Amino acid sequence: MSKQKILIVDDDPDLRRGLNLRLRASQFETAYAADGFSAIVMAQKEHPDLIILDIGLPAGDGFVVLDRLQQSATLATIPVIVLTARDPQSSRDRSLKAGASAFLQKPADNNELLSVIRTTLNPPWPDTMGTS
Amino acid sequence: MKGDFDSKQLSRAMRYAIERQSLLRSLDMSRQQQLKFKDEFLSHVSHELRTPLTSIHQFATLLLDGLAGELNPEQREHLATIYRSANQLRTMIGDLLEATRAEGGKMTVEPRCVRSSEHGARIVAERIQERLELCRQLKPSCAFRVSSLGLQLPTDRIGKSLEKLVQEVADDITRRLAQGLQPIHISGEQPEIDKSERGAKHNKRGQNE
Repeated sequence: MSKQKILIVDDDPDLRRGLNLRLRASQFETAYAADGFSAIVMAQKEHPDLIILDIGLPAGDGFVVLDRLQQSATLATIPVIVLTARDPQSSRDRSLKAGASAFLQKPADNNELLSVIRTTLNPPWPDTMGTS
Repeated sequence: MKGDFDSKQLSRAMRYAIERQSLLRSLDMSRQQQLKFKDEFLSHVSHELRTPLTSIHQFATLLLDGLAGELNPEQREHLATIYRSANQLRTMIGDLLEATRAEGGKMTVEPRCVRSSEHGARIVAERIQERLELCRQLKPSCAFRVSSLGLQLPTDRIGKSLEKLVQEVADDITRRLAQGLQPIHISGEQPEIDKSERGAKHNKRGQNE
């Protein structure tokens, strides 16, 4: 079974490196982009199973990237997890409305991040959420 | 201006008047606007602090999880200290932002999925109480209502139960403050229920359903 690929979009090289180590240790393949423009190019080239996207990016911020992804017929189906240091009060709703599947604030708990990634990649049956 | 004056004096007087008006306008800036600026500033500071904190947190956990090789007990202990301090700092940054929001009356409590039990609801109520106490420190005379806290609770039975609990906590804090007492601390422990009482409750629920 082939590994699922995650595209990490963040302008902070330390964060990209750390996240790369963490995701590879959890049996994911990774690809990177450091700005909004590269994010779209890499998404088209690599066609990842999931994108982890920062909001504050050069050359088109995270909202622009979300917008571009939604406009593309081939990329709109890729789930996006927004991982940002920005204030959730102002960014969460906007991200989810723009098409993100989940929103996490930095620094995110590793277990929570991996759990959100797995849930996003393999959505459970509605009843397993324990909300019913 | 009284008496004789020349064009130079008139010009100076007008300049002073404009400066005075400008000063008055800036002084007249409402408290809400000042709080808004403060909120924006702290939001920015929070963002700037969280970015390097993320790296500290991330690499500390990578090392603790052994992803960069084995650690000896002493190294592990030191790293655990770094990790603990990073988490402490993260909480402090979050509180700093919430304190500003509470001061500006913009504090919101975000709904989360909880287990549909009294125990879960009590834990949520305890967390909300912490936030209310923060609010109390900034606005001692404030009376708390669930609606004024911007709570968005679900409209189902669990949501109603939570709302009731939160309002009870808020009322308790308001009452105790009026009496000059410290707000009561609600325990996250599930209250012991007498077996006979539990049986009676269970039967009653069965009858209702």
